[in-house]
Amino acid sequence: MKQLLEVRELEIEFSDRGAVTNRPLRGVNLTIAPGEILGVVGETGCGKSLTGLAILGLLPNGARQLGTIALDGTLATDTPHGAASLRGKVISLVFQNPGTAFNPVFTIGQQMREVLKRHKAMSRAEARGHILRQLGLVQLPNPERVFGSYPHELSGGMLQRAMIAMALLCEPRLLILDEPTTALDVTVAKKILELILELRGSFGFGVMLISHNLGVVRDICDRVAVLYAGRVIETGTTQDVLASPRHPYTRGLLGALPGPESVGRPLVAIPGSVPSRLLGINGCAFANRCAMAIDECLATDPILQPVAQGHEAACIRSAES
Amino acid sequence: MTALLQLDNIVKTFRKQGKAFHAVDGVSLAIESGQTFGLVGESGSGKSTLARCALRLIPPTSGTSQLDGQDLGALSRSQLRRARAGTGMVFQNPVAALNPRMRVQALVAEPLITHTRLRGPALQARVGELLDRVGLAAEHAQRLPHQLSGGQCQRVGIARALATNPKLIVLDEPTSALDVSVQAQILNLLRELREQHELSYLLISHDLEVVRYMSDYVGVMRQGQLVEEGPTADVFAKPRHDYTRELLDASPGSRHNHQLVASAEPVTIQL
Repeated sequence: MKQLLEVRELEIEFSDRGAVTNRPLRGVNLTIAPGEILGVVGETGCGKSLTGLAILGLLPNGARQLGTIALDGTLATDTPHGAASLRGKVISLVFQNPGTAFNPVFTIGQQMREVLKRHKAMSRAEARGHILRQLGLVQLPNPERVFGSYPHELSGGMLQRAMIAMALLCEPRLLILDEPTTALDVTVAKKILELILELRGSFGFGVMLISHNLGVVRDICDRVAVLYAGRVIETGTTQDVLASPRHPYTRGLLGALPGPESVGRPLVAIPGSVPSRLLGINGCAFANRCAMAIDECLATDPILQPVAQGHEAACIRSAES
Repeated sequence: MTALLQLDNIVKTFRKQGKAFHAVDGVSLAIESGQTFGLVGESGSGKSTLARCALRLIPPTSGTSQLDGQDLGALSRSQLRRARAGTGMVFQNPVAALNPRMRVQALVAEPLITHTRLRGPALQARVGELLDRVGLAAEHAQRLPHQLSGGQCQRVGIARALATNPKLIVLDEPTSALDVSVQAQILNLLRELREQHELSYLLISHDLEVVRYMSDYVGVMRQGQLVEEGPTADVFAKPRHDYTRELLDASPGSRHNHQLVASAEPVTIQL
């Protein structure tokens, strides 16, 4: 089947006066099929958001990008004006904090109209009608009121709905959700996730859901990619990866979550923290935090290898677990 | 036995444009020595306001808060300050809670200078001991907050809360800003410290699993009221209030939630 999004060997480097200072992405490979929800998980600093920004062509100045990003089989770099012409139209982004993602001095309606002005030839009245329909679609009561409201007049949940409505204005093929529910209360978050599933059902867009919350991923993702130190270290269906993880890092993330069975026992924390500078790593980047590491791990750079049908892990000892 | 912290009918009313808003609306609860009381509820339900009233960081509109049998409302300012030395508080955003221009050494020494007579080498030694207790190395003492990770900053926050050997520590969303792996480290540390020092915690969190993991008792707040309260296992196994059930159902990844996945088949569209 043709992939909606295909990221191949994506590397990002930052340099200072010609010398590479950091390489936060070290060859990310991932694919999203049309209508599929891919969860991208990992700790802070693993490269989750950077991957999303690279797909949108929003990398900070001075970042050098290697590798390819193809949308619907077309390289983003081959499209006229690059990713900028795709942004908001073919790919949309929903940010983590709906309270700060909107501009506080314009109404929701004004901000949504900007998107249409850029991508669609619509009259003012048409645009207004379209925006009101979208606001209704995300189940906001009284779209008219939301249209004329400033961001501070709406609750976090309502803002996130408005943000999703805005992202869907041009019927994008791919929606990137960067921690869409982290800033919301659980009951509100649940409704937002349900909304995303419902809209995916009716529009069939693909979703890249960036989250550090494995519970959220378990609830709505079809497949999962676990990122560590700028690489995908395990990928497969949500069921496979979360129920029978094959990389020690994935197991660590799952073990660290408190659950009913952990009451009264210490949690299995992953020792240490994510390396902040990713240069000159020869072996496995996780080896220094891994309980299963052997000498070979420091020497061999593990690549993603199939461990089961549709399930890959980058660990030389994945067969043993 | 008197409870370590006893709150009776705490009410806190804020006025906004002449309209009264009951942030906390008549809450009573008791925390026994050595116990952890978990407070859950959505943002705006009054959890943090209640905790601040409990330590009288803000005065409640009515109701009393007794710490170790002492009514905090009846104390003079200097007496209140001495009473507060028996408490500590850890905040949600570990980086923002620390003065960015103070080094770790000075940050941890601050409560000791305020509440004790320790100075000079004795003070230094106590700071070193506290850093060691929370799992920080001696080299961290000379760092500034921005040179530390979020988890390390929270360890500094915990060291500050522990400095005066308190009996009660209020933990206001201590791990919400942290990654799960770091959260596990911090929760383990808090459990160890509780055992070593026979601490009581008032733990505020919106994460039900964190509350279940840490607490002996749990209280569920909604719109300023405590709608359900009881031993943690009971509340989680047999929630009696509708709102508690709703919270449990909404908790991401909870077993109640699996129908969410089942009902939504991936849709493939024709290209």
